[in-house]
Amino acid sequence: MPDSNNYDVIITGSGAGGGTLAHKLAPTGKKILILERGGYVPREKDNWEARAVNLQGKYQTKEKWHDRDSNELHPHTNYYVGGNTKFFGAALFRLRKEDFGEIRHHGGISPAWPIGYDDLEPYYSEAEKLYHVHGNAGEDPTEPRRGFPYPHPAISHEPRLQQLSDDFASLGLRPFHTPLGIMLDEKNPQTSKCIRCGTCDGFPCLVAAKSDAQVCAVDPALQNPNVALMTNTYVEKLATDSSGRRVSKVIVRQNGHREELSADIVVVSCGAINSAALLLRSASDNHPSGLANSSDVVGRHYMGHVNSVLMALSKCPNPTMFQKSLSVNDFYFGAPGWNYPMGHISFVGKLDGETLKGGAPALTPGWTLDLMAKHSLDFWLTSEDLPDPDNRVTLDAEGGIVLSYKPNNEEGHKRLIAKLKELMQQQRKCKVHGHDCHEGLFARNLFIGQRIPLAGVAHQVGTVRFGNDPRTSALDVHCKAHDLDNLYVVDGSFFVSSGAVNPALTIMANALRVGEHLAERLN
Amino acid sequence: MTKRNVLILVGVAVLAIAWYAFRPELLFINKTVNEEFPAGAATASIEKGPVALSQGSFKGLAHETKGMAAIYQLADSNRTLRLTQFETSNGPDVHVYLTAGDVEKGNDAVKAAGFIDLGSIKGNIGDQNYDIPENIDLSKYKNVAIWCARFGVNFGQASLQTADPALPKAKI
Repeated sequence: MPDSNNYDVIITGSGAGGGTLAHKLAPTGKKILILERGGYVPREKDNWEARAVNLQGKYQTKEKWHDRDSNELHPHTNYYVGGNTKFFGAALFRLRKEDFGEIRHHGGISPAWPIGYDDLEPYYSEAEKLYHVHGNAGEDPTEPRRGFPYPHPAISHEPRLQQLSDDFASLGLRPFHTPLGIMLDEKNPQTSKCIRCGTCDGFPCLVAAKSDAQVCAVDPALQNPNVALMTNTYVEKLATDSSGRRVSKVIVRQNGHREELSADIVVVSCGAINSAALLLRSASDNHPSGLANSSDVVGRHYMGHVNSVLMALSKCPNPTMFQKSLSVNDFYFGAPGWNYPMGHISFVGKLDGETLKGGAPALTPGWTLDLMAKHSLDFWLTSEDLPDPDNRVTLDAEGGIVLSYKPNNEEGHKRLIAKLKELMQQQRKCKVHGHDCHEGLFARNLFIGQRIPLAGVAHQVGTVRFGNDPRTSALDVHCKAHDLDNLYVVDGSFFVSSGAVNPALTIMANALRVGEHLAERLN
Repeated sequence: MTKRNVLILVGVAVLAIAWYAFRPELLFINKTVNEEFPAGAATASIEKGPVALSQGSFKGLAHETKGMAAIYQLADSNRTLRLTQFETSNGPDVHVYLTAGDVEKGNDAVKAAGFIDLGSIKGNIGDQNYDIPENIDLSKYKNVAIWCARFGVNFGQASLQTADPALPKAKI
C-alpha cells in the first residue's frame, strides 16, 4: 500500500457526526481523510424549488431498500458532503436531562444511557457555538441546565406564529422559540447571511446560511493543510488484521475505481442505517456476524421517532415565510391524567401546494392544495419510539439494505395529536376575522394528519448502540467498538434511546466528545 | 484649582492611561475574520495552487489559543502564513510573529531570540493570511507566536514542522 494511502484518521461520512469530528480533530495537525460517498450538492436554482426538491426528490438517493415484507423503500435520505444536514430543518435541540435516564413510557421502557446529561453538556455548548444556534434560554419548561447562554438570540416569530404563541400562552402553556441553526442576523438585515426564506427545511441552502455540516465543519476543516476529502467514494468494506482487533484496510470504490486505504483510527459515520450496513457487510472469519458485532446488536434497535405532520386549517391565512420558530414541550413528559411521555410539538417549514402533491390525500385537486397551504399551520409532532431489537437493519442476498420496523409506543403520540386538536379548538378570535375565523368554510380547524412513513429516515438512530456491557452494546462509552481497538462510530447509531427532539445536535455534541477523546489518544 | 480637583484630574488621567494600556474591554470583544487563500486559490485545486511547506497546531500560553498555522508557497512563488480554525483572546497591540526560539514572555527576550513581525493580528477568530517577506530564512524561524507587544507576552504558539507532501488535498 503506498504511503500516501495511509492516514492518522479516516472518517467515513461527512455529516453531523463525521463532519463535526473532522473539524474537532483538524487542529491536532494529524493527517485526516474524510470519505464521502456523494459529491457536493450542486448549487442551482432547483435547490430552492419545491417541485424539484419535494415532489421530484431530485436530491434524494435513487437507492432502493426493502422493508420487512420485501416491499421497495425509497429512502428519504441524501448522500452529499455535509450529509443529511444539507437538507435538515436546523432545529438543534439538546436532549432533556431525563432522556439520559430510564423513562417509563406507555409502550415500554426507554433505557438509560451510559453517560448522563452533565457529561455531554460542555459539548452541547461547543456544538451550539460551532453550528450558530439561536435560542432563548429559560423559556422551554423541560430545558436542561445550560453552561452557557445560546450563542445567538432567538429567531423571532412572524405575526401568525406570534399570535399562536400568545394564544398558547393564554391557555397556560409555555411555548418557546425553537433553537435553530440558521445564520440570520435580524439586527443587521443588510449583512445577514440568512435571508429568512421559505425554502429552508428540507432544502439545501443556496446562500450557505444554514448551519449544515458542510458549511460549519467540513469546509473550514478543509482549510487546514492536514485534512483531505475524497468525494464520490463509497466504503465497501472494512477489513481487519489477522488478530481481528484492528481495522487494517478501508476498501473504497471511487468512480468505479477500487482503492485500499489505511489509518491508525477508523471512524464510521454513515448515518445509523448505513453504518450498521457497513459493519454487517464487513463480516469476516474473525467477525462472522459482522464487524464489531459479537453482541449481535449491530443493526438492531433502529429508532426513527414517531412523527406526524399536521395541518391546522383556518379561514385566517398563514402568510408565514419561515415557520419553524415555535415549539411546545409542555407535554414532553405527560399531561394531567396521562403520566407517560407524549412528545414534542413544533413546526415544519411552511408547506406549499407543490409539496402537498407529494404527500396529501389524493382527493384534493391542485388548487385546493394551494389554498390549503395558504391557510395552514403546519405542525410537526415528535414522540419517542422505543428500542425494539426486531426493528433492525439487515442485508439481503445482494447486500442491499432491509429495514424492518414495527411502530411502537404510539399511544402517547395519539394523545399528543388529540391534545393539539383540543388546543387549536380553543384558539382565541383572530384580529382579521374575529370570532368567524374558524367558522364558515372551515367550521373549525380541520386537521389533515399524515404519519411520516418508514422511508422518512431523517431521525435514524440506535443501530450500533453504546454501553458499558459488551454483551448488550457494540460501542463502549467513547463510541469505540468493544471488539476492536481502532474503530469508532460517531453518527446517530450510538443512541440508546431516541428522546423526542431532533437528534442532530446530540450527534454533533457527541462527535465533539469523542473527538476530545481521540485528540488525547492521538497525542 | 483646589487640591481635590487636581486629584480627580490625576485620577481620570491615570484611569485613561490604564485603559489604554490594558484595553480590558477587548477581552470581551471578538473580531472575527474569514480570509480565503490569497489570490482566491481554491482549496480543491491546491495541487496547482498553494503548497503547504510547514504546519503546526497552536498551543495556548498566556491565553487559550487554538487552530492551525501553515506556511504555503503560492503559485507566484510568494510565501504566506495561513491561520485556520484559529481562535485566541483579543488584546491590545497583538502581532503575529515568526520567532526563532521558544519565548513565553518579555519583549527583550523575544528580540534576543529573533523574530519577524508579520503585522498586527487581523482578528482573534477565523481564517487569515499573513504575507512573509522575501529573503526570510524559514529554517531559522520555526514558531508562530501570537505576541502581545504591549505587555510582552505570548498568547499562544504553533511550532512548525515540515508538511506532509503526500497528503492529497481533495480527490473530487
